[in-house]
Amino acid sequence: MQRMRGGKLLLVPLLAALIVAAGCGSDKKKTTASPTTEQGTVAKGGTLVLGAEQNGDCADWLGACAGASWNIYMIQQHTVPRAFNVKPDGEYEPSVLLDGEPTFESTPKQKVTYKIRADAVWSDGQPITSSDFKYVWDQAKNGTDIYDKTGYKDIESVDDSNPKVAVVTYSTPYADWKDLFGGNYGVWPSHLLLGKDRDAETKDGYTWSGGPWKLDHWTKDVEVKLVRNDKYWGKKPNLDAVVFKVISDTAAEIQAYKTGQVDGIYPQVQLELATLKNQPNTSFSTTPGFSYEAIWFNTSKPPLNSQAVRQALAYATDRKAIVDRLFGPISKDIQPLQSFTTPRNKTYYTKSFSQYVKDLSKVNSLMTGDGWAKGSDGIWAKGGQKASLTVRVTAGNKRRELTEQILQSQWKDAGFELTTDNQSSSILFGQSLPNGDFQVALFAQVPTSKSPAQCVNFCTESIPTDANKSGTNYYRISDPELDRIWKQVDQVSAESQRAGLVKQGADRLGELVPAIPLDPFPNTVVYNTAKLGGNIIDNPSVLGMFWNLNEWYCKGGKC
Amino acid sequence: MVTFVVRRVAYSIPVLLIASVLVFGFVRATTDPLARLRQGSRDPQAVPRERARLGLDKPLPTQYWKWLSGFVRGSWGDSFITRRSAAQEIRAKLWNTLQLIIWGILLSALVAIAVGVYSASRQYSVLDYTFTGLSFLGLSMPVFWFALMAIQFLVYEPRQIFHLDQPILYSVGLHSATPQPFDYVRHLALPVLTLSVQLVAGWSRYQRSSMLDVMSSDYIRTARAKGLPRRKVLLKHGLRNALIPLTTVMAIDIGALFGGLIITEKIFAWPGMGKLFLDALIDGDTNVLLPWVMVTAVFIIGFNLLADILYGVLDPRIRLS
Repeated sequence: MQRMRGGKLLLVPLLAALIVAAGCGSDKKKTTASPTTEQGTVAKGGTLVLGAEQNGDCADWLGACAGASWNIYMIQQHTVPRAFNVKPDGEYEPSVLLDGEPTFESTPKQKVTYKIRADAVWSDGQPITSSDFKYVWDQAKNGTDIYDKTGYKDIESVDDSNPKVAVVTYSTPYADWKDLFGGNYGVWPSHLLLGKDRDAETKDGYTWSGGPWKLDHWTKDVEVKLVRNDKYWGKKPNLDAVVFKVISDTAAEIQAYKTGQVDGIYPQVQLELATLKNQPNTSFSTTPGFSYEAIWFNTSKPPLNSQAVRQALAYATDRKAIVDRLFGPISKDIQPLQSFTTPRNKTYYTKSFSQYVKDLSKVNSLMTGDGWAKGSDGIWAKGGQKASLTVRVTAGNKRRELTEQILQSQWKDAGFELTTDNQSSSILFGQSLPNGDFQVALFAQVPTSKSPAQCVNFCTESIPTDANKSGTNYYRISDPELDRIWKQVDQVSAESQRAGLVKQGADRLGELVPAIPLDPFPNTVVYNTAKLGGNIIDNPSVLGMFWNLNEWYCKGGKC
Repeated sequence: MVTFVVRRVAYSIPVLLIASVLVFGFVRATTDPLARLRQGSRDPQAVPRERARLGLDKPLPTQYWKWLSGFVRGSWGDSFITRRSAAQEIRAKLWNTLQLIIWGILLSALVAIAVGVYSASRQYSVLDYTFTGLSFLGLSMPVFWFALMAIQFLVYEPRQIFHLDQPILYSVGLHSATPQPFDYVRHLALPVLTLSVQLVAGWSRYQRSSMLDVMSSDYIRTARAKGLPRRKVLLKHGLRNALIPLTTVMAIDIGALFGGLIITEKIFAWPGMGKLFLDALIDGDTNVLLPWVMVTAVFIIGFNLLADILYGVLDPRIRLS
């Protein structure tokens, strides 16, 4: 008994010490710390801790191991200068790297002339030059381990005779030229990398920077830390440092935010996020980005090889009910998608699927017109074959599994039988979709820019074959009219002309129904308003909510 | 003893080889390390280019042989996904997991033995029933649920109640972004507690049962009859023998923990072996999975071996026979 008392006595000072340690700087103290902050003056200093859902695979942005969004959110955009930025409204604007809008010429060959700002320098003080543009083009075009050569392979030359003027000449017109020397790639320091193994130099991180931040360290699966780049010529960061903590479990990420271990998160939308809406001192906003989810059909598999059946399924689907069920608790503003571009990409968004609202009489007329009749079980049948379908989603994705259940119910009402056969992400995307081993699949497309190009998804040449296993027209839709329109979209630069073509292409997709667009996949921005200030809003592009991290500040200069 | 150890190690080699063949075949048949590239890149040539570069276009036996011959020579290869050395990845993750295991084992062993001994010596007392109930609760409670409850009640609620700027205990990662007092302990506490709950629950039951067996032995009765103090009988004569079965269970459990902390590591953002395995499996990264299997198997075999040796150390009859 005496010993137990002794044990308790040991616990008391330990707990007291932990509480005192935890209480260093209370909330109360913080709210009165800086009257200037309350008046709107931006405070300097502080280390901000944010939550990161994922971790990239490498920091060689040109390499095949790159492409994961989170390393672009955390490292790439803050350290690699780019020609164009995408603004939160989805429009391009020349970045601080350039001295104004580049000159664009379409004849005799497409040519873009970039003027680089005289004071633009790398973190080692060396100027950013046209040779840096040339380096990226050369690597992207001629490298053997490149993530995506699209656009760069259409460049014929980059003239770097004037260090502050890069003249890029194309061999074939490339409409999305504003994505180049930006997007996932940016502009790289040729004076540090030329003649070296780019991948080896960069894959685990790098010390150079041409952006507002420098990478202090990246400990894989643990954290990324950014510190100020003092040589940055643009708007310098207000914060001393930013740390991204990798928390891959959504429930744990929510708890980390609620317990104050991170002051901002950018999670994929999940219903459980709704618990954060009423959290004190919290800004919670959900806005559709460029990504979208759709119900994708394999048009080569019966009964989906019938256009009438696909249209009937579109009329059998109450997309509004699905979207309300999936996103209602989080945001009432999300509406069903009407094309394969989201409303955020307003230049190219069309309403080509708006006629498809649940209408069982249209389902009946389309199906009977196609020779189907309902059996005694209420399921359509034709030539002894029932209208039975199987849907595949990535196993474990709760939101998509819920969508499957709603679809099963809705389609059964319309006379279609739906079963589920979910798979891991790597099997679904690595095998089932490329090999055409599916009937219906539910997944998201994640465009990294506002480019409306869809040939990669819907042109005949993109259908995966034994010879070409890498096409992404998994839906096997083949239509000369679609091919003609979407190929033209790839080549026309004038925005209004392009928008007209996109509408034609989208309307044609609305007739053929290789998929049913479902919802504009929303991005969720959550941050602590008591601690954080700045224009913290989502950017629909590959930049995400961290696009202006250099403008954020900790209220009172301490987070 | 040396012959025994050598023989046990020799037996484990074919087991490891068979395990590696099965893992290699299963993972390569069911996953695709290029799936992510396929999803993200707009370039139709990106996948064939990368497949050729990584040697994934070669027949499976050729790929396996290339890996095995490299592994034997000490070259474990690079991850298909991150391109980092697999050995480097495993070493970093192994150390993180080791920290959890060491503290978890120490805490669990201490508590489990104490609870087991107390329960056996006060059989059918109120506290014995309480410990029994708690053990069943601990065994039946899902790890993820306990972890989330622990975060709610040991991190979130105290912070709210005491209006603290920082939580008393952390639930994310290994350390804070800026140095904090007792930082290591505050980060380690919850994952160790989560890991320990089921261990304590299981081990304390073993210890109680084993202790009860021993305490009803003739030599204990003899010791009591000779007038030895109760504590001496219990701790010197009883506990030492009662530890033998628990030692075996503990050694097997510890070996399995090296790869088995997936949920704990995921919830507490603890970058260890379990999370490495899960990520590699999802990505189809056989170059990481295979050495992972080897390393984990070595630990399991090693700890089983240790259990056998300890058995001999603790029980002279086994050693002498």
